[in-house]
Amino acid sequence: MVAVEQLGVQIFNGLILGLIFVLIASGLSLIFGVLGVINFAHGDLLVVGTYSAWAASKATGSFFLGVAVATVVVAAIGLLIERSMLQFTYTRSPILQFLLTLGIAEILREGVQIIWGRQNKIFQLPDWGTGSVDLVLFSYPVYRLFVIAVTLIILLGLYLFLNRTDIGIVIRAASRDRDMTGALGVNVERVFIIVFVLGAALAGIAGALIGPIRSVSPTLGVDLLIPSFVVVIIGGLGSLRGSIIGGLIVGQILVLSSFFFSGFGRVLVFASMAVVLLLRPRGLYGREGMFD
Amino acid sequence: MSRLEVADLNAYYDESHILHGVSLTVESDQLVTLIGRNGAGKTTTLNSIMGMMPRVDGQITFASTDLTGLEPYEISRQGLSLVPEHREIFPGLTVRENLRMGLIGHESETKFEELSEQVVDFFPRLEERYDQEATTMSGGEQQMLAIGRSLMSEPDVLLIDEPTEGLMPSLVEKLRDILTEINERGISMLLVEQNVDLALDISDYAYVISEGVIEAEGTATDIQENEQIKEEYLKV
Repeated sequence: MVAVEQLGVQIFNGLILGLIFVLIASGLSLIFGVLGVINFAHGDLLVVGTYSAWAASKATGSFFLGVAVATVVVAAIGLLIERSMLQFTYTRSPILQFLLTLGIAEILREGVQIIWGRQNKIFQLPDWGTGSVDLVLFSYPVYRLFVIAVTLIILLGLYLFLNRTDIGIVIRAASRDRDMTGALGVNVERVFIIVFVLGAALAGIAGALIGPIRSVSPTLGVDLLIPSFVVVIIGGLGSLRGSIIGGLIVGQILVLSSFFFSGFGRVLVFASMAVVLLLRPRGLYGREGMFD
Repeated sequence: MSRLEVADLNAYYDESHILHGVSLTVESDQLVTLIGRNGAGKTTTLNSIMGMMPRVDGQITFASTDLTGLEPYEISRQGLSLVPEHREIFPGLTVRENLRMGLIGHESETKFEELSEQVVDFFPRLEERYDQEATTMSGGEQQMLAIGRSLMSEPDVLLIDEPTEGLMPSLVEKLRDILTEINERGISMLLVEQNVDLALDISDYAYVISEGVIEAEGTATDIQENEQIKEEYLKV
């Protein structure tokens, strides 16, 4: 039953990767949905999260403190980016936003290398995360189960935030009709700040969580960002539900394809995107009128 | 006195100059209508008052506060509320959430339940549909929701754009009564309508606009009886 064991492990690995994509893609999707900005710096915000979590947990000896530091640092950088640069581009050409976020991505990626060097780092598993849990058919590392649990909790929290709080209602409303949201007395500029910082914080957490699974490297962001864009496109721009379904699909495709016929993962991901776009040009849950 | 006063308003969209020196006044508790043919500048006037046009000059004051150049959300917080032409109900939000949107931006002492009860008094149908996605409702129900959403902010002035557009005749009659009743409760109104007879019937005062210029004004009865104005500016 070796094959079943291995398959089970791979499916769980795909689930983790998928959930990380969901965290990245839901931030991308929220920011696009509300601000109308495609944030090419998102992957490198994640990298800053990975590096700051690694550095902070090494310095303090606490993994959780590392995650907290990463979240706060990346959220703060998000705030800085939005206030100092991005806010001036909303009424201008999208090309400006494209160039700006691309430039910020370079600065962040170079920045972490200037601070922490070009060598890859090893992010030690926290002590409680070593070892495996017996899941009857196969055993699976504790830390990875922890990541699955934490991302599920975060996504549930995000869902409740968007659906049960006033700010969440405003964010959903603004993603559909910014002008009307403003005309009803809501300061939309403040909503933009909240959404960008929230998206950045999600990238920061994702970066911290994936650190001990992948090696800490400056290109981690780019590696994860491209499939995350595919996730957003498959799921449909601006849809949280779409990001979740898309993320889980892409995670499984990448991991299972390398299990069965290695080397085809990326090709299959893009092929699946092409198929979805042929059948549903707006993605699985893309909303009508988004591009009208 | 919370009077809304628009003086010498010019509005531009890109290169086109749309409003040419529009002046009008809505006294408190008054129901004023702005009538004219399609494309005369009625919607642009409402959008300009609400701060939603890219470029305007002139002066807009409400209750002695200068609204000129304020952001739409600031104007809304001064007590003005727009019920826009195409209702602009938020898709993906339930009826209840759409109503909440009317309230969230305002620091209100009054609770959601209390305010929504007043709205439901006017529009009982909305309560049955509270948890339904709002844009799945009929056009008439969406129009009620749009007005209800505006009422949630306890406005002093409602700017209402073409509320009867596309509604069944029976609903139009009902809406006429409701607009009158809202006005009788002390909310002044600037009503834009294609349905000239209805508008003049419920209004205190009327302005006639054509090609961005106010061509005539007077009590609703005066305008109603002036065949020349009707012929020149209102007949389709």
